[in-house]
Amino acid sequence: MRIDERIADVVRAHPGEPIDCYVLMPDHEAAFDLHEAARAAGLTARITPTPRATQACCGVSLLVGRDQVRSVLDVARRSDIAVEGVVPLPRQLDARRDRYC
Amino acid sequence: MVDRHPMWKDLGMDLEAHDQLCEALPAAFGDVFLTQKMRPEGMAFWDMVAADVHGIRPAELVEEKKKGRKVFGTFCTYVPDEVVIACNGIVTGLCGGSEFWVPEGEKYLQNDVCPLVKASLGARMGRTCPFFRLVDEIVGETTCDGKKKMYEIMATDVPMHIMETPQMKRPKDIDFWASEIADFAQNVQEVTGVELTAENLAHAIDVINARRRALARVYETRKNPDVIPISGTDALLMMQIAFFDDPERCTQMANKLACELEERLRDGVSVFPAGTKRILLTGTPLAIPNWKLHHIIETSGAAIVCEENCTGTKFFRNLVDDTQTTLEGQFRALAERYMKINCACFTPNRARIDEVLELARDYQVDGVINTNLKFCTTFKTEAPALEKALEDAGIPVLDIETDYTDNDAGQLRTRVEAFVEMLG
Repeated sequence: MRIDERIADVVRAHPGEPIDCYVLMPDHEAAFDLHEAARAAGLTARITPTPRATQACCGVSLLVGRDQVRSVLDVARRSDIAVEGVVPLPRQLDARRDRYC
Repeated sequence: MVDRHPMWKDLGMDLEAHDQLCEALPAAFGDVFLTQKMRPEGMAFWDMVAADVHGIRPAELVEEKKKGRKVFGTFCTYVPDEVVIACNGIVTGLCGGSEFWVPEGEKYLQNDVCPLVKASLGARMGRTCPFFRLVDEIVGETTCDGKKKMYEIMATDVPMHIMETPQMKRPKDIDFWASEIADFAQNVQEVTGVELTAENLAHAIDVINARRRALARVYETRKNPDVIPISGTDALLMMQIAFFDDPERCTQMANKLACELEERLRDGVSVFPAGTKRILLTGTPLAIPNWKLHHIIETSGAAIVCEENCTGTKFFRNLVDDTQTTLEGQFRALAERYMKINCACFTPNRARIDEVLELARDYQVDGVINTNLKFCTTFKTEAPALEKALEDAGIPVLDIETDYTDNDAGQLRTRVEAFVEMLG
């Protein structure tokens, strides 16, 4: 399924909620490189631990707004940086959750 | 995607239990760090390390061990990294900062022991931290009774060297600490098989002094009364990772961050609105991933601009005299620098009070929050004297005792918000 369709599915499943995209990377170095390249292109991206909802191992991803994910993927293609996938999820962040690890 | 499970399995870790810790990290990290606005670009490096905290650096250590290098685990800012680095060893900080490890620690320790001590033992005995699995030796020190007795238990499971930390700061105590450093140097040479010389120790002193300068440079930008270029929470993450990262890379990344923060000062780019109350946090250390208090304070209307603790200024203040050319002179120089750290384990400890007052002035703070990990007797006992000195100096102070659990977060938030409101 195309990324646009997957985002649309998540939007339908979570009406009214903000949707973020997690760009899954092969390793932390690729994540760092894509972060640098995306920021240099004026895009907003943050390095983040990969949410457990997307995979079964600790790992590094890029957190990107759904409106910018296509642009970030274009930057990855142009910079020859491998990407393993994109997972759209309803926003996982909550500054007032007060759950620490 | 890189799967770390084979490495963790090779290290003898309890994969099932460790997966529970991995599960908690993404949400906690996201809530604390990714909800912040205007974060410096330079934080990307520390975000990356934290995002794969049990993968990236442990994988590097595995490779270095294949080359024959030895890894020394430490718990305290008094242990001189320079000696290990001079003998081509690697230092990794081990203090446990997660509630996840506490129940395992309580299998061996009574529950009225500080959470840092319990978590540290739990991480080793429960086999749920790769750093604890990678160490060839753990270096303990006698800074508190809880750790001293915990080390006896840990020593049943891993080689241990204990340094006897003096409890006073008389000239003869500094002499004694120099002799303890000399004994430690002998131990490190035996473990690494590398001879310690005045030349390789001089180089190591330069490496660690450079790290101190770089971290201090980041802190220097936090003194500006009008612009706060980095949150306290981000600065804390940098400090926590400094304990286990390669020291030369740490220096490089901290200097890069400092450049960005200095530019922010010139451009007036602040991560908090003008008028945000400036807080100095003092007290017990905040080992990774203990971000609770910083996050609560900085989402309650205040900004932390300085940490006077082991994961703050104690780690980098005061350089080692680099002019000594003999091992004896260098051991003395190391002893003099490390004995300037004002831990509550010393008596008397007026120097810590004076240091907090000095930092409160330098960082132009509106108030001080004195925090104490539950059951840390020494820091708790000297809290009233510290608070009186601050009140006498006209600096409002809030005393907080907490642990690693989440269940007091609401109460803490209420108390911090009231304190910030009282600051006007």
